[in-house]
Amino acid sequence: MPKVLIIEDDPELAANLTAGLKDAGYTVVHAADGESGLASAQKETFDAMIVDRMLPKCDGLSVISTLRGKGNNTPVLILSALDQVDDRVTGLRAGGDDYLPKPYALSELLARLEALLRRKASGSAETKLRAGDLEMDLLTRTVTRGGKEIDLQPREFTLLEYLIRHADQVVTRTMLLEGVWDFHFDPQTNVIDVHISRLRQKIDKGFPHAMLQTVRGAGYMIKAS
Amino acid sequence: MLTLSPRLFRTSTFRLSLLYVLIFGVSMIAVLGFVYFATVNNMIRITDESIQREMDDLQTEYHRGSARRLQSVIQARLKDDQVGGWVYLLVDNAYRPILGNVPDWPVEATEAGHWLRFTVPRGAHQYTMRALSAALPNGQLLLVGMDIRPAEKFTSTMIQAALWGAALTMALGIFGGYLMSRNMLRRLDVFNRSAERIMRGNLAHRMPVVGSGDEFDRLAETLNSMLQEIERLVASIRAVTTNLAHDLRSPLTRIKSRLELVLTGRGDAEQLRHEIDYTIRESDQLLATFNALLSIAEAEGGAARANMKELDLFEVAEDVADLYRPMAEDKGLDLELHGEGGAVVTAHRQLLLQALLNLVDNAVKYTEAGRVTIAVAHDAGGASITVADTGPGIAVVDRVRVLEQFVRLDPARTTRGNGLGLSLVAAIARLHGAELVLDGEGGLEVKLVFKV
Repeated sequence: MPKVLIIEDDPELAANLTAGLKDAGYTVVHAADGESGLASAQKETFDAMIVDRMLPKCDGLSVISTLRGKGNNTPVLILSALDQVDDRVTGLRAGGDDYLPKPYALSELLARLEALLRRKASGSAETKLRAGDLEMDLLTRTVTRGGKEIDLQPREFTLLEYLIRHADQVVTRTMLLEGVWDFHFDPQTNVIDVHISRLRQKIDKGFPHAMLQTVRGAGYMIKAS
Repeated sequence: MLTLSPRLFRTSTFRLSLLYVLIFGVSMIAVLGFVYFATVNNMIRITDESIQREMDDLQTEYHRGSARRLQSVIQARLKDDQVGGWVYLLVDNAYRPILGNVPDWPVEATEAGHWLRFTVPRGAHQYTMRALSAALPNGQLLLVGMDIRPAEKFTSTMIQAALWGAALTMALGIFGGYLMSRNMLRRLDVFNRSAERIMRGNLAHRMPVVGSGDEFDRLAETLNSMLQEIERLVASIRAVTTNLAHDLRSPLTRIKSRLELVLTGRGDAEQLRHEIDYTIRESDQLLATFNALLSIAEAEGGAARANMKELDLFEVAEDVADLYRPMAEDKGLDLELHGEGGAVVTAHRQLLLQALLNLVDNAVKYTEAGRVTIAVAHDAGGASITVADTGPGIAVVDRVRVLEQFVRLDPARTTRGNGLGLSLVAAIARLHGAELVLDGEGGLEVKLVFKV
């Protein structure tokens, strides 16, 4: 069971978040200010941390840079009410691994948290990716499913690569826009859905098991089995 | 009506005119003084020359003949009634008068050969004389003089005139200053009253323009155009607030009623799930509206300027075209990208992407058939990016209004969207110092022009 440290001063938000994470199977430790958060992070080992930017006593970015300065590389998801492109940059520069503006959807947060934990787990440079009977060769840039070759456009290839790297976890539309297109804002459009349905046409058509699934209200998921 | 309020004397106009009166008065006194001294000196000189000449003449007579001849000449001059202001006196060495029209040798004439001034009583008046005395070889003394009363009268008249003139100048100056100040105050009061009316909330009120074209009129015109701009801004803020309230009230009401429905517990699990799902999507829309407003505020705030880098417009266009091509194709539209790399501008990549994405999203959304074209061009003068479509376009009269916040050309507000898309594009264009041009016939053409 992954263990997560939440440093968040708003009691209601913290309670909701704790409940949501516990439901999703995480062990949660909560700290209500920067100092106690820093202390907990140094006392115990966590799989990931969720840190609010604006905290009493010691702000979130200082907490992160202090930990990074001491060689602590626990993945950090920064939460912030400052929903602006440039704040994201400063947050990531301070050592955060991902950035989520408030207000956020719990599903978005869970998807991103899982992605962070996965990144920590894999990390090595692979040349082949596999999900169920779907295989990707990153060197020859070929995709096969059940031995049958699938012809993909370059962008479709990147999209599928992102989805397979996050196989069996929910990937949100904004995660795709960031990870595949490098668009760091919410464009308020369903343009991603069209790309997904095209990709779905190519990888699922003619196969009994639909791998690329829509998760209602959250995003998409490649189901390996 | 002349009213003397202390306010009037505090006006800068009055103080200025007072200062001018003072400077003018002092310079007038200086000029008149100069004229006075020059005139008086000249008159004295002329008088002295006449006296000297007469004295020389008489002495010549003496030398030519004798004391007797001199006496007869003086006698003749005295008899002549045209003596005018001349005085003659011949005395012996004991100062006893021999001949002349002055009774006694004046006490002032102590030494012979000197100029002097003395007074002679004649009738009821005292006559002031200027005279020259001379000793004759036979021991007699001769005095020749002239009445200088006319000259003195002239100078005193002149001094009087100067003083009166100065006094009149002062009086007129002060009066003029008073009138000017009063006039100035009156016109300023009109401005003050207008400003007070505006401050009380009557934003449509304007400063009065008299039509004289003077500096007050020009000031009024400048203030009026400023007021017009303020009125426009206030109206647009008011419109934004009203539209925001209007746009938020309906979805919030729907959310509330749906949640109330869920609270009653009627309906099966699937139905409740559906209601909640709908509620979440509706609140997402609300959040999206706020996010769009924040993005506009960010672009308008200008803080993003710090993160601008050089980038190629064509690459930005490629990214957006790549994102939208499948969607356009699904709708049966051609999405074309024209141009080539090298259109380098200094820009905030994410904001520029967002602006272009909004334009292309709109173009694809509103065009039912035909094509959407993204064109990048650059030359020495700058670079531009154009998004053109074959959709319904925007009427020329609406092309400015549509850039304002919350303006949707569909009055019923039934179509999707929050009416912030183009305002965000406009704000991003302003941030980059780029010009946003809406154009096109039988479709919409939006052009972002970056000047070097």
